[in-house]
Amino acid sequence: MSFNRILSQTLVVGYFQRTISRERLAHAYLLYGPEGVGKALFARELAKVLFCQKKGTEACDLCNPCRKVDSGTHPDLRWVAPLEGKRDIGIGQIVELETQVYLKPLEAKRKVFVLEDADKMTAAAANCLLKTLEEPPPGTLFLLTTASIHSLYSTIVSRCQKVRFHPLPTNVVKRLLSERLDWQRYKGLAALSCGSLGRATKLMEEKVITHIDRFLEIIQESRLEDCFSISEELMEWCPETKGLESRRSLLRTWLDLLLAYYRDMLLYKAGSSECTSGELELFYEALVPSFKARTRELSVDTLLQILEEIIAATEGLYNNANLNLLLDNLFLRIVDYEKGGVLHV
Amino acid sequence: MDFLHFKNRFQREKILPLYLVYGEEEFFVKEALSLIKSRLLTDDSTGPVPIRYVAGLTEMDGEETSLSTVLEEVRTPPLFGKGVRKLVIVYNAERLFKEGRGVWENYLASPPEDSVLVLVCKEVDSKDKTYEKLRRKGGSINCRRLKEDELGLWIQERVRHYGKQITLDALHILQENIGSKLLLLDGQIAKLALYLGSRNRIEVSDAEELVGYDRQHKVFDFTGAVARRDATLALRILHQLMAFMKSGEEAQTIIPPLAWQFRRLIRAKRLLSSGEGREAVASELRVPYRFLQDLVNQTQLFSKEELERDYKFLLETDIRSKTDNVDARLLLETLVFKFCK
Amino acid sequence: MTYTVFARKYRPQTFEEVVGQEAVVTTLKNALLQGRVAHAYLFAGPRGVGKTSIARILAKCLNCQKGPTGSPCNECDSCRCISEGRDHMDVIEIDGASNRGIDEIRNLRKNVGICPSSSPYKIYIIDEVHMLTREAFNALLKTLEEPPSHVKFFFATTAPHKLPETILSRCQRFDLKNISLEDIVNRLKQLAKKEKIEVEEEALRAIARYAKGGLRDSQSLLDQLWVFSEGKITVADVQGLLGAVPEEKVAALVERLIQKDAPGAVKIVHETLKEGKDWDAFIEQILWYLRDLLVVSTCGYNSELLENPWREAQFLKAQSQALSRETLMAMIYMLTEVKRRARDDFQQRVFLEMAVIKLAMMDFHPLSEILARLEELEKKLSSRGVVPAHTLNCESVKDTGDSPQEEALIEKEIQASPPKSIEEAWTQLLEKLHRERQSTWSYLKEGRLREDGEGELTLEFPKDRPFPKKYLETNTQERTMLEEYLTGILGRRPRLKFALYERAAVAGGEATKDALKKEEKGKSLAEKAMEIFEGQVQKKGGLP
Repeated sequence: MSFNRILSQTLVVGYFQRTISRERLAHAYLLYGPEGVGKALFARELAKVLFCQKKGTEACDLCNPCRKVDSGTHPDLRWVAPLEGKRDIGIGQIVELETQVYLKPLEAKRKVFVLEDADKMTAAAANCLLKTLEEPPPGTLFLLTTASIHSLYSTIVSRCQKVRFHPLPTNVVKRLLSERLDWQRYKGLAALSCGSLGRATKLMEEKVITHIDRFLEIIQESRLEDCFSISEELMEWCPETKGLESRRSLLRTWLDLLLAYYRDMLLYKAGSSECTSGELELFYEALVPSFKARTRELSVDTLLQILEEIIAATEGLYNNANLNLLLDNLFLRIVDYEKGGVLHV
Repeated sequence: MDFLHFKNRFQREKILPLYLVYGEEEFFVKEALSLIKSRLLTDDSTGPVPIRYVAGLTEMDGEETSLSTVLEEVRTPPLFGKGVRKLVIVYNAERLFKEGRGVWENYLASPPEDSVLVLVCKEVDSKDKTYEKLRRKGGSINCRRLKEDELGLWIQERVRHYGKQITLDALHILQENIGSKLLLLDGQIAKLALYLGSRNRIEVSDAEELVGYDRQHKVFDFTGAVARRDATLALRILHQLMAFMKSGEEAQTIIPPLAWQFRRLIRAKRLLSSGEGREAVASELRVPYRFLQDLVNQTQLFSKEELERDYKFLLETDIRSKTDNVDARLLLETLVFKFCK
Repeated sequence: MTYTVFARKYRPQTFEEVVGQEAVVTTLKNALLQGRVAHAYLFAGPRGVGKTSIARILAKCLNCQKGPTGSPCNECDSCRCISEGRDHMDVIEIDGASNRGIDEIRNLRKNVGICPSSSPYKIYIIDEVHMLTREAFNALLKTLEEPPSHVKFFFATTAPHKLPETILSRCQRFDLKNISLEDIVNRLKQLAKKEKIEVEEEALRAIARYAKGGLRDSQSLLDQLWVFSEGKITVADVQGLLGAVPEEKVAALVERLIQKDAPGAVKIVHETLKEGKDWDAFIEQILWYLRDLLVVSTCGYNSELLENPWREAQFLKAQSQALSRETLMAMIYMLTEVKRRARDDFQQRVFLEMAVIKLAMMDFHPLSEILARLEELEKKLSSRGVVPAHTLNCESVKDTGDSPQEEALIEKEIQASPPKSIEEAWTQLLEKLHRERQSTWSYLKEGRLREDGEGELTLEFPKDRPFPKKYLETNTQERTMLEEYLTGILGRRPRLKFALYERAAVAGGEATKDALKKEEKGKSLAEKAMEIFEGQVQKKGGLP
């Protein structure tokens, strides 16, 4: 059962199963790939397989060791992640880990150490780990996970076997999402998650779901003429109750949805003569009928310019721009562009 | 007295009861101490193999010792009997030297017959009276850092010490990469001498292999290639320069010398077109003589506009290297293509 | 139970097995043979190039029961202890990063005084030495200044600039270089042979390229691939494991851009997305591909300079001709912008799609460039005595760059001296050198002089005699002298480049062949200009 929980990382699962059956398990692996594709989950399942009494390439999920791993109480599985309320993994945590590395396993034949988000290690912590990571005592297995391999020290990376987790295919995300609500209508949005379940859940936030119909209505039908009331409405959907940060993050989602819409039109305009809409991989497939009329008056150049505006606005979000000012300006410009008047410079 | 001076004369002169060895150049400090030691060696043939060593040597750290302890040590007669003199060396003696102003005067007036005291300091106050007195007697040894023009000679001499020779270009590489600190230079020379094995002369290729490139030279070669629009050569020089750099720091290491070089080209071009001669270029821009002709030639190959344009490209690349997450090599190579367009 | 990874299993055990650090190894062996081993060494360099390995081998050499020797026996207790990483009484390996405090170093100092128990030397190998604290460094320094003769220190670090100068000045320092691609490929080949792994040469090159000079990384990768693949390891396996896109895909994408086929280009982008490829790596791959095109169009097909030299030469050449250098640079710029601005996978995707559409619609040949080319063409024609059929007034639209005055000046200069063909100038130069500088003449006489473009001269030597080229490229004096001579003959300072050429099979026919080549060049340039012009007109019509 156990590896079945790992969705659509068949390459990875196959690789490890082969590795285990050929008895070629190395002592350190770096599991890397986008956020929310199952890296930490996999690390846990792998530990389970190694501890399971069945000793195969699948865990039974039933024996004592398996259950201990699931309940987080197996003494030979150590999990290191940033401490509560901390941003990074400090040297103290690594020093503690090192003392454990040199102790004999208690119940299993080996010890497994998982370093979740290993890129969060401080420089001192990373340097401290180097030696042990390269030549740990026999029977030690290190599993490091990271969503940004580039920010990890190359000296760490070079000491691990690298295992890449790829983004989840759209249909997998779709399936996962449909477990929670009727996604038939917005199935294109699953593509917006770019294969990361983390992103998908963000898109599914209550506040996005309640307003998405209205949002699509605004950007399609009213043609954004009344730009001031649009930005007001958007602001209302992003209440300030949970602080400015969460408001920005919500707005970012709306801007992404807007970006996706114009991106669809761009692709439609540039490629509809030669490709079917399916081939174009549109996010809003349901809106295709409206694209034809809408893109008639819009050139590829104009669409590109509008997209640039949306991107600039998104960047403004990160630079702490005044939100009203930001949205007003964005919609004003989009309206201008759509009218064909590239007036503002 | 300057150390080099001291070194030449010391063997011929009478040994003094007190020496003040001071200055930043640790290599000379060490050499001065070993010169003094060499005058106080004792033969010991009681063991299986006869050896020579400094029998009455005491070494102290001035920061952990009091003035009276030092004086007591010096005044205690040596244990080894007649003819064997004591040598007391006090490191980090700045504080003691200052503290014992009057004491040193007395000491100098009536020094113990069979002891030599050496005080080692980083710095001394040149207006200090004891210092002045010692200086006149020849007991102060100034181990200052060598100036650039003295360094070449020193390197050559040091290479000879290891039984080898060195070409001028290889010597430039040493100076350029290691700087003027003699301990560091000595380490590199010792290494090169070992690398040569039975060969006799340190060539540029040896130095490039073990020490690094003559960056100034490479930079001239680089702009020379750019001046000739020879992208292939320019790329090759760029790769050579990069071979020695830490990944991630290439741009920050390469851009500054290139900027300096273009600046020099622009200024040289201005000087020359305003009717000045090569001499003015050499003196005003402080161009080493070995590069002068090349620099003048290069200014003729570039137009003023080209130089100013290239200078701007450099700025753009510098900024991008600090803001973009682009591979530094790609960035610098693109710069070469822009230069050679 | 735990399988030993290749990187560990094949850690070099003798100096002969160390890859790509010949100079360092030679020096250390000489030191051992001459009995001049320093008391402290510093091995600095990037990850996975052999710092710790060299330190351990040196320790073995010194403490080998048959030593000190340049090649340890690897059989005695001492050697085996070190090889297997077991505790050795007299070779103490310390991890500087986890024992960075003053207490550890004080401890070390205390033990330094004790004589080695069973070997000639007590050796301390301190890895990651840059991580020691300042206090620890100070404590270490005292030992380093006057170490007992039986003690040796070997330090290893990836960050030598973080070491205090006082430490640096007391060590003999070696800077280890990144290992060349060739060396890595050869080492991997040996390893594959020993392990009986079947692997394509091209796959090994892909691994080496990815490892960027780190041997350890490349060995790990081969290790993984072996488990990963059934049968022979191919390039596709490597790309699969790394999430890289097959090179053909990248080439096809660029081809779509050349053909101005935006939907086609977007389709390729989507295909790679569906395969779950690594976006960042994909953009990087496109960038390096464009960079190779730029190299080909600037320097000609020169496999030594190419990132990916086993690409088809003909194809690269054709593509590089279809895109101007300016276009290629603009493309590189746009793609680096995607990399710079994208904050996550979603943005990366949308930005890349936008960039691809923009690139497919890009004006490949800016007007200024076409005018410049026409101008060049006219000059070529007029110098051959052909009057151009039309004249173009390009003053107003001329590209910035050369100032008109200066150009006029050059032209005047050229006219002042009698116009000379390059062949004539070359003969004259050789005659002069024969009289005045025999030594230069003797190696120069094999060469030939070619003019490409305005004022640019290429001095070519036969491919099988590359020495003169190399010599001239590195010897400023000689080159300057040559330029001086040419300036005298031509009446202007030439931009002189050096190149190699393939010797024609029949020596006699060379001159005619040359002439033919020129003819062809002139023609193709004219044709090209027309193509460009037509292309431009078509393009205008095609714009939305």
